[in-house]
Amino acid sequence: MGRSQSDSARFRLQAKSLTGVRGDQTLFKDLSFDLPSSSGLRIAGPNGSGKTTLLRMLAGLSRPAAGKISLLADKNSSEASLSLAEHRSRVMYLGHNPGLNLRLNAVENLCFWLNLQRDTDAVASSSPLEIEEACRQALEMVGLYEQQLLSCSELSAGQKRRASIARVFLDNRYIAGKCLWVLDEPLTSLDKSFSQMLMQRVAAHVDEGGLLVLTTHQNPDGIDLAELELGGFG
Amino acid sequence: MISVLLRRDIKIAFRHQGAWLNPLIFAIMVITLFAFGIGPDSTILRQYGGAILWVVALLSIMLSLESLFVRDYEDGSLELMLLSGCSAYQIAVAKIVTHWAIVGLPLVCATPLFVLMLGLPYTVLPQLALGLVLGSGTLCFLGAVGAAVTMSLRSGGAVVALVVLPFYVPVIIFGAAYLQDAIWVVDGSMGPVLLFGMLLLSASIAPLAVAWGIEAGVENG
Repeated sequence: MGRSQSDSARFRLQAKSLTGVRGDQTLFKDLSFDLPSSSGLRIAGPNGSGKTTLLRMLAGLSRPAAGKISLLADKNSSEASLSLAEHRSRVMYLGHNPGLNLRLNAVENLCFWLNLQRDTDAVASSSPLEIEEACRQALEMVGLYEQQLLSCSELSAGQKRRASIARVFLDNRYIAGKCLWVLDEPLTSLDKSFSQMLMQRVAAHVDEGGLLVLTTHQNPDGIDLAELELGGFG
Repeated sequence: MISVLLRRDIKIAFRHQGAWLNPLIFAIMVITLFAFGIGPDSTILRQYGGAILWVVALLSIMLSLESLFVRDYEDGSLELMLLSGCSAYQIAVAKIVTHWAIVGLPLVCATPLFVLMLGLPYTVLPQLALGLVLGSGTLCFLGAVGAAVTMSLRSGGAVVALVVLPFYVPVIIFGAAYLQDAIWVVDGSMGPVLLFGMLLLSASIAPLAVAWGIEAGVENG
């Protein structure tokens, strides 16, 4: 089940009158935006204003209490939006949890993740050795070449973050299908030079026609981002 | 897709020997305690051996259930699995199969030891092994439902036990009865049929419920 033609297709992200609740508290209401391909959105707001809740909705991990989120082909506005499963498989999500099993080492964790992306042709047609090599390269880029065979429980907090972020540094042909990057506080516990490197990678993704939604307290330079302020319902 | 999930879970289990050794050692120790407690009276052991064996197998499978989803849920792996074109149903099937392979299968392999410890006749081995294969499979399928719906509660294993135990009753009834029939050499041909029926029923329904539990758990996260 490849998707070679659509791998490089451009998408837009539409949100229509979204409502987000936590318990019986309304976090945001009637939130709408339309994000064309090659653009990014920064969600700002104080702690507890629903930034993570909104990001998880956009990633397809939770359903909005009201409203609709759709990922549609950019050119053809009449085309139906992607199904939830297709939407999810196009999301690159960096959340608060690293998504690393502590008993496995960084290479094994990354290979497992990459092997799950079977609906990308480049992954399905690569041999296990090629996959492993691609993962090693990504880990080398994030500065974990020497630690790659340590089990993740032996890594420091910052190194775990890096091991988790290595996903976005995989060779582009493997992750080209992931058009919507949803990054929740991606710069937390990263040093300055690595933060810059990450933001450059993110900017390159946007330049290539990708979509980006992120929350961050630092203002990232180098990317032109639309801004959305939450917290009107505190 | 399922094979990728399976390979990872088996690898994790073998990284950490406790995953498959703990339930097995637990079963062996509890059976030892029963054997010591009852004493060397082989007629009593013979009378209650079937029930003891089945309850121990049930407890050993149940006690290992808690860890089935919690770790992947808490470290965010479950979210990443869902965000990669792999459905909650596939995750459910892979998790249940691995759980059986690392907890149920060792119990089945240890049946000769259990028979020896409880002083049961060796002739019951085939029936006991067949009953345990079918029954432990059912216990894994049903137990996974409890583990999935409680994973976001952070309340430990007690709630899993409360959710799961009522559903384990029929497995115990028919499993132990099948074994008793074999011990007393009574014709118990309905035993395996009923156990197989329960396995098929739980195998068809449980993964759907587990998939629903995974989605709900991730949504709460």
